[in-house]
Amino acid sequence: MELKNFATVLEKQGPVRILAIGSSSTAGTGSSSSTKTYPSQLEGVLKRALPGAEVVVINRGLPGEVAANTALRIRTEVARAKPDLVLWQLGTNDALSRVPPKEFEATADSTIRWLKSNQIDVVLVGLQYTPRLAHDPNYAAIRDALQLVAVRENVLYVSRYDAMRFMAQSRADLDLMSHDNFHLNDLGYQCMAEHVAHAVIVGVSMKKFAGHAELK
Amino acid sequence: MRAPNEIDFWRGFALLTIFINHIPGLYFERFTYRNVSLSDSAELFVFLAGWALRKLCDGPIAGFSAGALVFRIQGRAFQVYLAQIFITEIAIALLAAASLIYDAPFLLDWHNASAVFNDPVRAHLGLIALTHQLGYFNILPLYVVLMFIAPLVALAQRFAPQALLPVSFGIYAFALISGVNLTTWPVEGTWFFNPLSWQFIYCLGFVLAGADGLGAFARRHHEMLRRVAAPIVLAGAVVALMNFSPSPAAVPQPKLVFMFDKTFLSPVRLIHSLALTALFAGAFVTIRRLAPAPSKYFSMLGRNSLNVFCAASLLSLIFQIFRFVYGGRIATDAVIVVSGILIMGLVAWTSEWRGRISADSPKKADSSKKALSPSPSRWASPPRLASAAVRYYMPRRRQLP
Repeated sequence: MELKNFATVLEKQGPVRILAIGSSSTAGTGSSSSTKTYPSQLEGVLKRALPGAEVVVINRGLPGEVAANTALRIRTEVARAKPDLVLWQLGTNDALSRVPPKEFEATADSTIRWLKSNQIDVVLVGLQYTPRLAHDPNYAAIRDALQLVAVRENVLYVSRYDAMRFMAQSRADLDLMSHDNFHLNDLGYQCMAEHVAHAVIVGVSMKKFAGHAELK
Repeated sequence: MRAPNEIDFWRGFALLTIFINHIPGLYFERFTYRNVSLSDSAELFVFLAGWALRKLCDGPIAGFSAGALVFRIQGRAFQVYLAQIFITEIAIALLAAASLIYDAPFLLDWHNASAVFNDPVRAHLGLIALTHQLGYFNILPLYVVLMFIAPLVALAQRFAPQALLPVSFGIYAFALISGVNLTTWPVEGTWFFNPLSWQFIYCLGFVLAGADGLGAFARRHHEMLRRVAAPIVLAGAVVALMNFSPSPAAVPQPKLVFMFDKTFLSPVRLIHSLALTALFAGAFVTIRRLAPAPSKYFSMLGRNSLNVFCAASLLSLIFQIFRFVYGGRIATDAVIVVSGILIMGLVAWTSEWRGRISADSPKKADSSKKALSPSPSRWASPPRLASAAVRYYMPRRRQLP
């Protein structure tokens, strides 16, 4: 699950390019400005966490898009932006559009394999939590399908659902949601950026540890 | 009303395919031809738009002065622009209504609509300037641009026919090599259909529809072109079934030339689409013989393509909301497809009925009004509606082969 290619570019001290693609949570619906979206905030977090590294995050979120259409855009954007890492946020709109989970899995599987064959690391960012859809069977089925894909393809998976549910149920005295109670606000996107940054840094460190293990 | 013909038939076919392809997760989507093809109905639709422009230029407006020609074609561009604004606004209202009725604020996100609700000041400017496009409602903006440049295409054909295709190809190649595309605003991004790229297939449709030049060459060598096209179409089917897509790392610069990119209409998609056209051109005669009723039906859809397209776009959104509420099952998906086909047909039929009534001469209308009184309005006159229906459904020998 380590981010091999991303770590290699970091080691060579080259600029690392991250393509953040997906739907509204990537575009930043609910944030107060384009600098408060999760990809923008992630760039800041990673620059602080990886001192000296040149990190560029490109935001290609398109609200309300299903994975099959994002998969098409991924191919265009990869050819144009040449990223080392793709952060793909997906699943919510497929669940709401009632895309069959098998079809969703097939789209995600083939796209991840294509990215891997292009030496591009992948981190999947999952569906958000909202009480309104907590008992929706299709929502759960797509969430399970995404988890299955992540395991099968051996890629990092950020389970936003669990994190957001924990925050909602622990009744933390923090307002992380925007007024529609579905999208995050600026602070929520900061949390999400930190959550994703944590996964990326763990992924990079795993390569380091793997390297040490081989040396030993 | 013109008799069923090949162009209207394929345009109707493309409209139905677009309707089905625009409902994500729909069971019957797997039977549309994009699953065995490297290009899809969008290429066919734009190619036929170029073809239709040539037929207009060589036919009804052939004798127009340059000024009259520009005004006539620009009128169509405004009509398409208004249609885009209208259906986008209805789509926004549909999403708003659904979000209220089903207590589902997340529906306001669908198809890039969220900016309209969260950033209305800029989003409305974007809607009017066509820089804010809803997902699946993004082919008409391309069409608007194409219709606005259509007078240039028509004038180029009249005054410098040799320059048209080279200039069009130059712009296409520039877009592919440079990666230049129109940007969207306020949502940061680019147009899904890059007009700089897609104008080329439009111009190809325009040139190939002509009785001279490349069009004449294609008709003269149709059999040879068909033999070349068959293996391309077959190879495309194999590649599509294998779900193969080239690796940007493995292809040389400029990479978009070698990808299967839809936004920039990569050459592979363009060539495949032209091969499909070459292979199936003329097949309408056989199709009409084997399946006369569907041929007539698709032709009717194609004759009224703008109205039917608008209806199909809104229908696909309505059915997406339906699937969100009631779930996606094969049986309900079948109902969706059948209802969609019937409603699209109804829209086409009413468009033609209206057209026929307004085309009737006032004199004739007056005499029939006298005969059919006491109905005060010929629009509401039931016997006329019945006669229109009879006229439509009765077989007309002159239209059959």
